[in-house]
Amino acid sequence: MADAGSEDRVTCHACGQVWPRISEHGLECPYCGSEFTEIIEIPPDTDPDPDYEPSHPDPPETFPGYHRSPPPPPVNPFADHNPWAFNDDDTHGWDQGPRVTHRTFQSPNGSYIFHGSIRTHGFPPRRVSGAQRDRDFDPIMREMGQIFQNLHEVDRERASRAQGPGSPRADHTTFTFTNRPMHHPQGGLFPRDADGPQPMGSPLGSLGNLLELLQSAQQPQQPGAPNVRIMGGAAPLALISALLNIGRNGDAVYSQEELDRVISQLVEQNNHSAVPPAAQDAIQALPKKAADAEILGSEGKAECSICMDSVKIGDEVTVLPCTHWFHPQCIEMWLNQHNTCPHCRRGIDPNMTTDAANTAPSEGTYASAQTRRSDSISGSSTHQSHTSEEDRGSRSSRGEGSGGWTGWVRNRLGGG
Amino acid sequence: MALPKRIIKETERLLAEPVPGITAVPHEDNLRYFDVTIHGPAQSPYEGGVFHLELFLPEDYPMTPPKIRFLTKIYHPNIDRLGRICLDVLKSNWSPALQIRTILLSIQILLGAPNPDDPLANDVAQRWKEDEAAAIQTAKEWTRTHAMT
Repeated sequence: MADAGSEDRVTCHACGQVWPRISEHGLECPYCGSEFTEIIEIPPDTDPDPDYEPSHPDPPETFPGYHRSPPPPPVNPFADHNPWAFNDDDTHGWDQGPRVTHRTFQSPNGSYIFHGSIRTHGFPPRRVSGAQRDRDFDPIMREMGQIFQNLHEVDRERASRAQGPGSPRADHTTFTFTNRPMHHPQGGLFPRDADGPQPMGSPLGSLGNLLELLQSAQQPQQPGAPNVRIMGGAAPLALISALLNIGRNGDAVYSQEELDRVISQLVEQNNHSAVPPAAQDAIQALPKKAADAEILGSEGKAECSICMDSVKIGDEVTVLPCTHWFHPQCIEMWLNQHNTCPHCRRGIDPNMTTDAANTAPSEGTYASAQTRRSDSISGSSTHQSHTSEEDRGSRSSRGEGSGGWTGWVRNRLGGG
Repeated sequence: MALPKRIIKETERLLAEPVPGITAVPHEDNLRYFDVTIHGPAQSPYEGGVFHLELFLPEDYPMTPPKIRFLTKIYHPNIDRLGRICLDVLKSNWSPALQIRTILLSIQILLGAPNPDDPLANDVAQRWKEDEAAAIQTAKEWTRTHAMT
């Protein structure tokens, strides 16, 4: 966590405004008076450098041709709040096929026009306020202004050398950038299978193209040829891709926010790779019996700890090998997802003892800070292929149970 | 979709027998979404602070864990700048025998027992390991600034 410095800004969740944080001001929104506000830190890579301004004297306002889609209307985003809706399988807002947006910029002296076509694939729209988007954008725009300026100087020099001063030349040069579709036909990072091999993009291909294009851009224009240069792919690498995607280019991320989002997704995915399901026949083979006084204790009634419905004498329950019991349909639903007893975490397959019996979340107790240390990789799929001897072996050396890269990722993300 | 009986029961019990130092109140228009407050445990850098969290019970709860996030800024090695919490019972060690009540207790205990060896906020954890006294001082300052109103 970065220190709370003077660079912090505050965003209002009620009206979407963003303003610099002034410590004596408090956290109330100066626009709508709401206290539903949050301090946001400026990611280090978009931090405006104090020494940065003087060397780039062109403010973004000098780009008259700069068009941007209007920011979303300031509706209350928490009206029907489900903050995780976008992380789950919910597809609204994305997977709607490629979207293409166009941006046009003009250099300060009007000599250069920059036209960008941005093609996005299946990614959710970034949920940032318009003001924050501006903040992300402005440093890039200043950078572009400088680039245009430099290109203009170079071009003028070259023109005067090659053709002599005063020679007729085109007044305008147009650069067209088109980013190529990303290499993820299934829609970017989500829903990647962290356990499976992934098709790799070919960044070197783009780099080769890039060098070629840069080279051709240095050569004098053919007389009579249209004064248009096409640059494809990832031109001046991070800068341009940051401009095109504002922070994202395939698997590479260029902002703290994007990184956070990616990590969130990975953590989410990791949730689903906890202990694997129990075998169907093992589930079906579990003994069912009518609840009796021995099970229910002296009071004669108890609760199924999954559905919290009461169980009375005579009700049918399923009893696991560890003697814990549940409603048949309740425990079946759980075992179909994870082969652990909800109380003691032991597996139901007698041949495969699960090793998490030391972290027993029984009713009335709660997992202590110490049990947090029990590693989350205990149920990783590699355990399934172990014989029971090996399984015992890996139990004594937790953390080494699932080797390789996925094990490392699980170690990182499962615990973190 | 109708609200499962378990969620209704848990909510009733949370309101009827609240856990000391913890409140969880469902939204009227979305009974799966709770406003949570946790009081910083005594003898911890968070003592005296009241931390706001949001809790959401997913569609398949209790087969999947509740989703919880700190809304109040907090300096803790296992809680990152977005308020996400590193707690195994919220992830792969979730069990349907756990409840909102037990999970919130676990989080309260986590505040009292930071674990920089299993970090989510790496820079905080590193500072915690290198200079624990300074890290605790920062945690106290953040508590004063953000969690005491």
